[in-house]
Amino acid sequence: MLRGVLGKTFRLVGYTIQYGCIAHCAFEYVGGVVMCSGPSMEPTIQNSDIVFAENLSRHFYGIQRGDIVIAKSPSDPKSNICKRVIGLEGDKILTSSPSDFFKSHNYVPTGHVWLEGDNLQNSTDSRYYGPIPYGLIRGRIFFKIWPLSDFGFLRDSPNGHRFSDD
Amino acid sequence: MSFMKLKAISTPLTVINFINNNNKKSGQWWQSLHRTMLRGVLGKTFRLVGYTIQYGCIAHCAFEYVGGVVMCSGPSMEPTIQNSDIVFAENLSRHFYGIQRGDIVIAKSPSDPKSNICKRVIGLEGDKILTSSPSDFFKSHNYVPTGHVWLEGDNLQNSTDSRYYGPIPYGLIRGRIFFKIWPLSDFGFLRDSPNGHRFSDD
Repeated sequence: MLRGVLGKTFRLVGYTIQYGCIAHCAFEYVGGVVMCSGPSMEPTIQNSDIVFAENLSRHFYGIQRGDIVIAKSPSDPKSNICKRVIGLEGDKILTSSPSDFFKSHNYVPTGHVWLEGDNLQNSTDSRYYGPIPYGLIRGRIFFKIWPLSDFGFLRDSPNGHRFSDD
Repeated sequence: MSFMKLKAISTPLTVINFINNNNKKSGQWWQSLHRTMLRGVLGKTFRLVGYTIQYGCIAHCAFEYVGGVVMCSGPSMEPTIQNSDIVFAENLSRHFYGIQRGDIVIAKSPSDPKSNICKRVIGLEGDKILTSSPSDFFKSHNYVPTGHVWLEGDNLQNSTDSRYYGPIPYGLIRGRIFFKIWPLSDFGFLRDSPNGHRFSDD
């Protein structure tokens, strides 16, 4: 009887590991459902919205300017951030405040991206912690599924002026 | 069979019918044979693909969550790790946030997300790092920001590390190297840093 129970337990553990691995790989390489929290991406993504994230673009290095990405936070590796890509490596970014008299520009270093939230007044992003390495990006958000009133593909950035001209 | 032969012999029309029927029957027989063969091959292919995906996922999770064998290249970690050495890397410390000062880690390169770097952790977040050259008269210190680590290669003269690109976010770390398996003359756990003076005193 003990052998039977032991055998059944091992089989159960084996199946759990098997399907756990497959589910994990599906989430990591294909995509999954994500709930966003915080005000930094309003009005595009509100607090407690549920969105679809796909992870293929990251692996094929297909992230582009204007994409909304999920990345590991550079100041806290345990949490994720959700911002829009304003500049890729080599782009010129306007880093001075609109109130400054002299404008200052910076170039995004190789292997890095410049992120900003759509809600510029209430967003801690690259204007605060600088460009983040591309390696921290985990996926691209492209579709909202909740609330149903806002179901569909995500809008373009309301801050089009932040994108570099060249 | 003999009944069919009898029928066939009786009239030419029935002979033609018989031949047509037989051809149709044999044609149908070939068709059904092809169909089952195709279904069998398709079924086997799907099963093979299914097993490949299954075991591929398990192998991937094993490499990512437990560890694996890595070959290092480059001179930046000499004499601890030489060019073309083969080492064991474990990935558990990273997930449990157990990386400590003095650990040798593999991380994604901050300047090239497609490649990995292999350096030693000199400082964790909050540590004070000496960032001026030994030849400078005035020493300058910097604090490692939260969520970052300061990496340096053991071969300080020939290593592009945090002294060049600054502290890197903890999220880029992929694993910790703790054991060398090739060359056999150097088999075993890895030595401590030859640059003990680089670690902060406090």
